[in-house]
Amino acid sequence: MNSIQAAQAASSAPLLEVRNLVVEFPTRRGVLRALDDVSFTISPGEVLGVVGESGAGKSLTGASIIGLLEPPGRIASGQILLNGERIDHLDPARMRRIRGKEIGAIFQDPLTSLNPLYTVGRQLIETIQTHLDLTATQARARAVELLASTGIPAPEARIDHYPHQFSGGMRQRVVIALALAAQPKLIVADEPTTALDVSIQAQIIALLKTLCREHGTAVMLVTHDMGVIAETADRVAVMYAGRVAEIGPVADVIHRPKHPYTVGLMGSIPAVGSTKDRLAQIDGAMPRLGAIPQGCAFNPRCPMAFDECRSRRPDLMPSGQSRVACWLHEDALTQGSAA
Amino acid sequence: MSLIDRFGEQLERGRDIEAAPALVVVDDIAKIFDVSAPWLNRVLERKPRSLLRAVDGVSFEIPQGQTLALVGESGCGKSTVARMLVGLYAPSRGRVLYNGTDIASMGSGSGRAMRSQLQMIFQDPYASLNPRWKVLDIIAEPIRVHKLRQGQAAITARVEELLGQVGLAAADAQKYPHQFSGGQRQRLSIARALASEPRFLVCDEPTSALDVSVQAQVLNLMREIQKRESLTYLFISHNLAVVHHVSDQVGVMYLGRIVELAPKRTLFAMPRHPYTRMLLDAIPDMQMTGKARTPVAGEVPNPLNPPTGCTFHPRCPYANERCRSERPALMMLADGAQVACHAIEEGRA
Amino acid sequence: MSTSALSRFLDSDIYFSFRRSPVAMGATLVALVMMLGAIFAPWISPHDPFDLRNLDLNNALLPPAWEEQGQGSYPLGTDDQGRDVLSTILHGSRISLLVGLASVAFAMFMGIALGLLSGYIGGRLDAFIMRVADVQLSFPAILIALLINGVARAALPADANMDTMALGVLIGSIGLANWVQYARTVRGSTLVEKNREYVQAARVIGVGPIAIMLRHVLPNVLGPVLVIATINVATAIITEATLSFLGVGVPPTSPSLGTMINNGNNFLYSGEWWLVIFPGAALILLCMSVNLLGDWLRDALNPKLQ
Repeated sequence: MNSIQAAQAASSAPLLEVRNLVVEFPTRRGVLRALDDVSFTISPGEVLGVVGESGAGKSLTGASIIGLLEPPGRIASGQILLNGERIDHLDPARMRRIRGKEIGAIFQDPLTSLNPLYTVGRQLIETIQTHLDLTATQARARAVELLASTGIPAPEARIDHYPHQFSGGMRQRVVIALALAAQPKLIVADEPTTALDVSIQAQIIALLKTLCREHGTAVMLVTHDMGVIAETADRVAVMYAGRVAEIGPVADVIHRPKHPYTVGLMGSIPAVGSTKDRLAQIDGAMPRLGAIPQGCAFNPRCPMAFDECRSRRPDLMPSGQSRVACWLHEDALTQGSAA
Repeated sequence: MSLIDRFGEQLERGRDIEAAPALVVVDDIAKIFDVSAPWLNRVLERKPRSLLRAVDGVSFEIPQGQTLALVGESGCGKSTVARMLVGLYAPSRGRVLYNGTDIASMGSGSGRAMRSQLQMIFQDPYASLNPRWKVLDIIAEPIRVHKLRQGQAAITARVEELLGQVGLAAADAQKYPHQFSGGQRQRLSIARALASEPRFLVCDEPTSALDVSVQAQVLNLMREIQKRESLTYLFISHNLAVVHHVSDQVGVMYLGRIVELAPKRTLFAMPRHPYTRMLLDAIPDMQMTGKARTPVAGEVPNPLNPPTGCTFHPRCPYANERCRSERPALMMLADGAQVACHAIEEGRA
Repeated sequence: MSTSALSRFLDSDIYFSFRRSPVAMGATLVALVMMLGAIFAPWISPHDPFDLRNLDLNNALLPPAWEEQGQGSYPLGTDDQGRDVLSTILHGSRISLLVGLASVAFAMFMGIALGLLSGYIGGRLDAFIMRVADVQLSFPAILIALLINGVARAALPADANMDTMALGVLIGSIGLANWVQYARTVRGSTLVEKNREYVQAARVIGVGPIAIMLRHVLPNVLGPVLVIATINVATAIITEATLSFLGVGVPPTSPSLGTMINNGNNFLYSGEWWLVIFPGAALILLCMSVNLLGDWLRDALNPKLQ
C-alpha cells in the first residue's frame, strides 16, 4: 500500500477494532493475565502483521477475535468490534454466523485444518452453502473457481480428492480457498507458513497477498517470522508478554524500530550479507505469565531502563508514524497521524 | 568499509584458503530404507518392494575447526546424513572417516574411545532430555560412560563447570528439564554434548524450534565454544540466513544428493545450481527493496518415487533431455565450488 | 524450589485432583480399611477359624448378632462347622489379597520385561513375542488359569508342602493369564519412546541397550502400567474367587472369599443367607474400591482431561 492508500485506509472507519482487550486464565494458583490491555485497529483491505515470540500472546489475540478462546480462558474485559458491532461476547449461534461469513481463519497445520474423512470439494461446498445462498451446482462451480484461483492444477478433478492426496503446500492452498469461500472481510491467519518448506512458503505468501488484494480482504497475520511480515504486511504490531510494545507502518518498525525490544529483536535476526561474527542478543527471557515485572514488562532486560520504567507501565505513545509503549518516547514531538 | 573491516575480511579469506587437515571425511555414503509392505501383503496384493533412498551418494570433507552447513528442504536427507555421522544409522554404502578411522568400528573395543569425540545436539529441546532425570544425571551420563572423572564429588564439580560454560547456574543441576525454557534446554543439551570432551559436534537444526532472540543467544554461545575448544561442527538447517551466519562451507542437498558444495562466501555471492538460486530467492526480503521475486514452481517430489536422471529436472527452467536421463556428478569449479548440474557444465545456465 | 519427593507430590496436580474427588478419597479409604483388616487378620479377628480345638458344632449355623438367635461373640454368624463368619472373611480376604497382589506383580514383571524387549529390539523377537501374545489372547483368562493349574497339579509331586505349592501355582497361573496386557502397553509406549531424541542422545553417548531400556525407557512407560495394575488387582481377585468357586483354586484348608461363597451357596435356599451374602459383599467392596481407585488414577494421569 502506498502512503495515499494508507491515508485513505486510516481515515475510513476501521473494519476491526480491538479496545483494551484483557484475557485471563483462572488456574488453581491464581488468575493469569495472558493479554493485558491490547488495542489496535485494522482497516478494510489492510494487512496487519502481529509479531512476537512464544508466550507473547499473539495466537491468543487471534483466537479471541475468532471466538475460539479455549476455556477456562476468557475475555475478562475490553471490546472487540467488527464494523462497529461488538463480537466479543456473542452467543455461539451468532458467532457461528460471523465466523466464515465475516471472518475467515487459516491455521498453522494444514494437516489438521481439513477433515480427513471428507473430500475437499464437500468441505468447500458445505462452507459456501452455509454462508451464501447458492444451489448445489452453483456452489460446486464456485468451489472449482476458488481452487483454480489458489493455483491448484486441474481443479475439476482434484475437487473430489481427499486431503491426504494433497501435499503440504497444496493443502494450505485448499485451506486458503476454504477461508475465502464465503468472501469474508477479514482473515485471521495464524502462522500460515511455518509448517511449510521455505520455497513453498514464498509461494503461499505471494498467493495470500494477491488474493487478498483482489478481494479487498483485510488480513491479520500472526507469526514469529519477521521476514514474512516484511514481505506481506502494511502495518505491524510487536507483542511482548501479552502487551503491544510497538505498532506502526512496517518499514518504520523494521528499519527504524523504536522500542528497545524491537531493536533487540531486529538485531538478533541473522541477515544474509552481514559480516558480523556475533548476533545482537537480548539477555534473559520473556517473563512467564505469573511473573510479569512491575511497570514496563521489558524493563529487566532493557539496556536503557530507568526508574520510571520499573514503576509505571507505559501506554502506547505516538512517535512518528508509529506508537510505542516506552517511556523513552514520551516526549516525541514529531507530527503524523497515529497508526 | 573501514580499515578494520577490510583487515578482518582478509583474515577470513586467508582462513578459507589455508589447507587445514580434514578431521571428518565422508566418502559416497548412502542410506536406503526398506519401507516395503509386509511379506504377506506383498504376496497377496502383488506389490513390489519399495525402497526409500534417503541419502544417495554424498561426499564431503570438513577441516578441523571449521563448520560445514548442510541446507535443504524436507526430505532432502540432511538429518539422515547427520545421524550417519554419529553412528545412529549404519550407511548402506560408503564410509565415514574420523581422523582417518572408519567410524563403523565405534561399536566395540578400542573404537569406543572414538565415540566420546563425536557428539550430537538435537532439534527438539523438549524431547532431547529425559523428563524423568535430574539435570545432574543427564549431563553426568557421558562422563560416567566414558569414565572421565572418578567419584561423585569430581563428577558433580565437572557438571557444575559445564553448566557455567553454557551460561547456567550450578544450582540448576538439581532441577528437572521441565523447569527450563526451550532456550535453556538447548543449553543443557550443549552442556551434555560437551561433557564427553568431543572434538566434532553434529548439530541437527539446533535453533529451529527456538524464538529469534533465543536463537541469537544459542548461536552466539555455540560460536564462542567452538572458538575456545577449537571444535569442528556439522550444522544442519533449513534456514539460509542462519547458515550464512554460522558456516564456513555450505552444502545444498536435494532428494538425498548434494547439488552444490562451496565456501560460504562463494555460494551466497555466486549461487550456481538452479536449486540453490531458487532457495536464495525464497529468503524473504527484509530490506523490502520491492524486488520482484518469482516464487519457484512445484514442490519437492515424493522421495519414494524420485524423478529419473537429475532429480531436480521437473522444477528446473534449464532441463533438457540429458537432465531427464543422466544423473549429474559433482564437478569442481575454479573458485572452489562444486556443482552437480548439466546445464552449468554445458554453459547453459 | 524444594525438590524433596514428598513436597513435590503434595504440590502436584495429581494430589490436587485427588483431594477434589470424593469418589477417589472414599474408595481409597475403603480399600485401605479392607487391606489393613486383611493384613492384620490374625491379630484382630475375634476367633481363629482354623483352630479346630475352638470349634464347637453346637455353635454351627448361628445367624448374625442382631437376629433372634444370634450371639454377640459371633457378629456375622457362623458357618456349618461353627467357624465365625467375620473371622473367616478377614482371613479369606488375606488370601484373596495375597493372590491378587502377587499374581499382578508376577504379570507386571513378566509383561514389562517382554514388552520392553519386544519394543526396543524389534524385528523377529518382537514378531515372535507378539504372536505368542495374540494366541494367548484368544483364550479366556479363566481357561488358561485352569489349564496351567491342572497341568501343574498333575506334574508336581504330592507332598507336605502341597498347600504352599498350590498357592504358588495359583498365583503363577493367574499371572501367566494376564501378562499380555502389560506387554502390549509397554511395547506400544516403548516404540514411541525409542525414537525420541533423548534415547538417541543416550545411544550417541555410548550407553548400552540394556541400560537404555532400564534407565531411560522404563521410567517413561510406567505410567499406564500402574493404572492397568490397580484395575488388574480387582480382576485377579475375582479370577481367584472364580477358580476357588470351581474348586481348583486355593486349598480347602485356607479358604478364600471365593471358597466361602462356594460353600455358602449351598445354604442360601435353606435360609442361612449370611454364609454367602457377607463374603460376597466383602468381595464386591474390595474389588469396587480398587477399581474406582484405578479409574481415578487413569483420569488423573490423562493430560487431555485436565
